[in-house]
Amino acid sequence: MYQKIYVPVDNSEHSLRGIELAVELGRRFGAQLVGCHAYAARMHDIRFKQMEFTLPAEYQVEEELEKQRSIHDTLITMGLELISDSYLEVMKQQCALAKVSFEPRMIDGKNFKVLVNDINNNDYDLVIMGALGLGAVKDSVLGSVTERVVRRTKTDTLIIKNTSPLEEQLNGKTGAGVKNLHGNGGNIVVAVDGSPESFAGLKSALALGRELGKEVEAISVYDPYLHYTMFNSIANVLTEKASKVFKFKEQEQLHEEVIDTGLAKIYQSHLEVARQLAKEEGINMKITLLDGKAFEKILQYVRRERPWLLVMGRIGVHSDAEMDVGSNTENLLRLVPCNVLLSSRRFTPPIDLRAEESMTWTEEATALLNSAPEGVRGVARTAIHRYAMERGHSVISRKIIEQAMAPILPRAAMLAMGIIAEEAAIQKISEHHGETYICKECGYAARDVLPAACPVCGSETAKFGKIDKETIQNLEKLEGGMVEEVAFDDRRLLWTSDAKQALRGVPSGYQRRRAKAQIEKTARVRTLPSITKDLVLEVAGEVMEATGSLEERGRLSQSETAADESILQEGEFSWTQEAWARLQRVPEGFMRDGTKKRMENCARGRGVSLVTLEIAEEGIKEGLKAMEEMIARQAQEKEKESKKR
Amino acid sequence: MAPAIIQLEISRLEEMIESLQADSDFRNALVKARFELKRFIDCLAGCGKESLEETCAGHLRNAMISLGLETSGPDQRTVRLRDYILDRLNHVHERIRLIY
Repeated sequence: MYQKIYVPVDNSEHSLRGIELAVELGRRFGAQLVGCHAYAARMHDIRFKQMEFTLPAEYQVEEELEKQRSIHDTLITMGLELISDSYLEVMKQQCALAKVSFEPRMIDGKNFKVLVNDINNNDYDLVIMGALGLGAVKDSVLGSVTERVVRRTKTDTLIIKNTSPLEEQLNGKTGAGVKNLHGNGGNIVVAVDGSPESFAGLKSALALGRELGKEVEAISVYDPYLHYTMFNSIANVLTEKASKVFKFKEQEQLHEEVIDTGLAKIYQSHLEVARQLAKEEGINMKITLLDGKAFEKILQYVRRERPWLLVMGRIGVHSDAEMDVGSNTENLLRLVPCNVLLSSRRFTPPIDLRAEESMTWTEEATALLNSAPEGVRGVARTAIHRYAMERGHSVISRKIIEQAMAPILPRAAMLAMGIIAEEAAIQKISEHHGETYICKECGYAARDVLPAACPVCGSETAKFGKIDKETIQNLEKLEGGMVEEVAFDDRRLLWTSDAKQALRGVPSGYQRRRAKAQIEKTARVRTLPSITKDLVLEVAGEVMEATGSLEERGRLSQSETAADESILQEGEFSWTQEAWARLQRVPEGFMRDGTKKRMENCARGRGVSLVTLEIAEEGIKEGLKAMEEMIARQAQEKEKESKKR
Repeated sequence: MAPAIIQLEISRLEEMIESLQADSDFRNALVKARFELKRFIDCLAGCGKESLEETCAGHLRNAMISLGLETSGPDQRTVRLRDYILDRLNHVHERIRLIY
């Protein structure tokens, strides 16, 4: 695991404990140790010169000053080297006793800079450093050198915060000397958040645990309260109109649903993956899921359980790769009362393992898989998992199986296995020929007889709408035939052409998607065979009215709604949907007009009348080039003017 | 939190209603429960703490009865989801004195 361990030393208590641990790890892993002390001779030299004027009068003579400077220079250089040598001698002796290979290093320069330089230019597997140096005072929690080194290096770093004797840390004490709950010096706790850094940390922890005889456990924290806070905050500032557009209630409800189950499940799955990884190494690992702010909950856990070592990813799952240290890690590094291992390595568990732990199968999908011959279930399960993971699904439904299997199994085989059963289901639904009346107030359904009043909400007869499938089927013909559309939940529904046209009255984007979903939902609740224009107006009419004024002001242009068509005719050119949508992203006004002309020129240059996305991008590139040239020209003119002045 | 919890359960009911055919008795039982729960929320907004149990809790109980008594038709998954909703509603009902 570890072959070369780097230990910056300064003879502080933390540093001495670091040396002991490094020697122990070097012995157990057969690693080479490199001890380093950085000293700043130049800084002393500068300071001496700055203080020369305070020397007594007899020294303030040219010759005497030169002599003193020379003496000081020699003393400082030699002295600092001697001190460094003594610090490193301690480590050398311990290494010799433990029969561990040792290399001493002394570097002159600004401490953190030379250490960072040395770490980044060598192939150390692990850096062991004290959290505090000789300059620490009562309230210090993390020394500046350590903090700067951690921020600027990407090598696994073990920060020593526990200064109890190493023997006690590793094996604990009995009787009155017990300093932790376990009596064995404390466990190793790994904070897992699904990031490759945290999984690599887990692997390191397992290796350390095995070598040092420490139990390893994993914890994970999810935060279900952030969204509540956000929504409460938003609720206080949204105007009535804005909250209508934002669909605040629905959004809040959606988030509650997601938070209720989704977040906990995701983080639990990270823990399950961690447990599987440990199991593969023959370790039965304890896992704990906590809820709340990550750094706060981990801190509370560490204070309560008092582990020997806390292992964390240097950056978290939401961090950019360029980030030096993640915020949770940074806070914990300062506050936890135990040693900390920051993992910079990366390890991604195999996709199958992750999928096995994170995917949920619907009962229907499980039954379908179980209907396959036993010998192929494992292979099919893996193929389906991979398909679903690649597309970001978390639930395996019959539909996902159908899609995943389509390129693998022939249609006849899928029919035989019952994978394609949707057509049969649709047929079954349309078998009921009786009349159904639905209460428009509460949704109560009355079959065959129109009720005198709604038995649920008491609404009068007039509030009931008749679901007459025959009439709807006749309407389909009048409304320009049927188009099959995939609904928001992947089910297929039939739309008349007029209904589709009517839906375009709702502004594109979020509002249209939402209206479409509502219409589809209503159609299914009423078990309608198809979606007609009347239904669209009934469900989405309110949204259309609300946005009507926007259309009048020209904020929703006709061209915007036309972006849904596959090909759009605009003047002498035709536009593909993507090309038109790309153009719409350019700010309205002279910029969009100019860009459109450039795109058309590009098409003209190629001798084609269809503007594709590629041509659109080319036009935009030319536009940007022209803009850059213009800016450069202006800058030149400005420079000329300033020279004239 | 009671209105938020009930609203969440209403959304679950709506999902179930949506998945059932209009000719199912179980669907109508769900519709009735949803109706009572909506009235319960309206009632909570308009009444004082003292009269809460007399005036509002009835709607909650009606919803629970409507949900709990109808057993014909639903598949196992729907029954499990229904039981879960009942459990949540029961949770609110037990704490109705604490709502303010």
